[in-house]
Amino acid sequence: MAASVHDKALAGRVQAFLQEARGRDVQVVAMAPLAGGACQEMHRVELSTANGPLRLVLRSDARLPLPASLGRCEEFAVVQAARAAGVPTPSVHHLTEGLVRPGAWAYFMDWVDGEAIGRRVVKAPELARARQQLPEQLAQALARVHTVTPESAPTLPLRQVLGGPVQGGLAFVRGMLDGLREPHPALEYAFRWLVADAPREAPSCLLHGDFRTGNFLVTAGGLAAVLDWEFARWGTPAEDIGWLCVRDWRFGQNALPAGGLTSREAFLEAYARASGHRVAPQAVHWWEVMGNVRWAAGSVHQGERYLSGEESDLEYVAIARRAPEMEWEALRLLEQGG
Amino acid sequence: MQERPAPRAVLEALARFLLEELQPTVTDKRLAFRVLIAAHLASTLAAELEVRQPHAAAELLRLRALLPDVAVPPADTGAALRTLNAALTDRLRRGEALPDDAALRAHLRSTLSDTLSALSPRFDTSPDIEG
Repeated sequence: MAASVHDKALAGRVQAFLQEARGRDVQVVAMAPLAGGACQEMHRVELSTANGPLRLVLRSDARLPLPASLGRCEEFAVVQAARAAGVPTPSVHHLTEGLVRPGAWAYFMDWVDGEAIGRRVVKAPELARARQQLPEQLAQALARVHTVTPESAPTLPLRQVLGGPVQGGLAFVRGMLDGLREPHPALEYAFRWLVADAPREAPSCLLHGDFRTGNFLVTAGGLAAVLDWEFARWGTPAEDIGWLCVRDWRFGQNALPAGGLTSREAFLEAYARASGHRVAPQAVHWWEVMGNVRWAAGSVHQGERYLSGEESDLEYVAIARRAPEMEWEALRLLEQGG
Repeated sequence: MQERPAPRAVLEALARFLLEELQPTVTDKRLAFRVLIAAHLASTLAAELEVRQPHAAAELLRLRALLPDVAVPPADTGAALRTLNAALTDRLRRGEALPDDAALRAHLRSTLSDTLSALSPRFDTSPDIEG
């Protein structure tokens, strides 16, 4: 085993595991933790094999999972269903328990090259041509995610939302607001509007659940892969599209609401071409307000994780101080109307 | 009490040190990003110290006008703000009618925009950001 490993004991376990699973020729050449994906533990794993070098990602359950995030077992099944539906996302292999830590599930993913950092995806000059392709490619990928339904995938280990996606979403966010340690009247105001203007329930399908710039791997040719399925759930397509439009994922490209890449209208058109279904702009607007309220409350909760001593990363403190941005945007949106 | 260098100047010096001297020397990407975060926190705290009192006073005036029936502890702005914001949040949660929706929204906007001017100075609070 080479010296360029961060955690020699883990690298040793990984090598023994992969030799069992893939053959005695497999050697760990390098291994290092991956930044990004703040919620899960990930490692880049470089291997030498009889067929040449191979690079994988090891993705493990987090020590402290976020509420509503899937475990790796469920996530593994979701990724397999998404790939079967034709969504570009890395292949997953070797789901196993206890490899990284006792009790923690983990699996390996194929390594896919590309840029995921949101700011670069929406601004880097070398990705200018990719950005022309991305709205269409993202709409196609999302439409494929949404072809998976509770009826077509009855064994997918996701819980049905009680009362439907709209009422379920409201109940979830109500719980988040009730857990805040100080009053946030702007969020209560926005929540009251959400309750009063709630759209009708629609049939459920698989949602990516965090479909946004920052979770797309992009190369010069456009979309290479959709990443991070930990928030996958049953829901309604307007929810994934509304989340994509949340201002924070525009990385400053405010005039391009859909992920900092295109207009809402152009994205909805592309989605209609790809899926054969028109999603009502009013429903997307409601879910976009909802997304801002949810992310505002979520960022405050991340700060609480630091204050409680559960987390020690300075980024949690900084994220909590950005909550007013999402509160502002929720109010701006509901005043503008859909 | 010694007043110089003032807390604001100390935080600004801290931000400047982190950004100009420390950050360029940090090769670990994750750590370099956290040094940027630390510098941003220090410089926004410096701005916040300066405007905290006037913003709190303005927020209190607006809240007292919106909720004239809520009794507040005299001479303690922090406690009065906590009481009034809790009462406002409670009423909104219970769906109670509030007297003047336009004034309430204007208040919420003013409070957020004051907070953002210190915490997120680059955040665009114009209503037509989508052009």
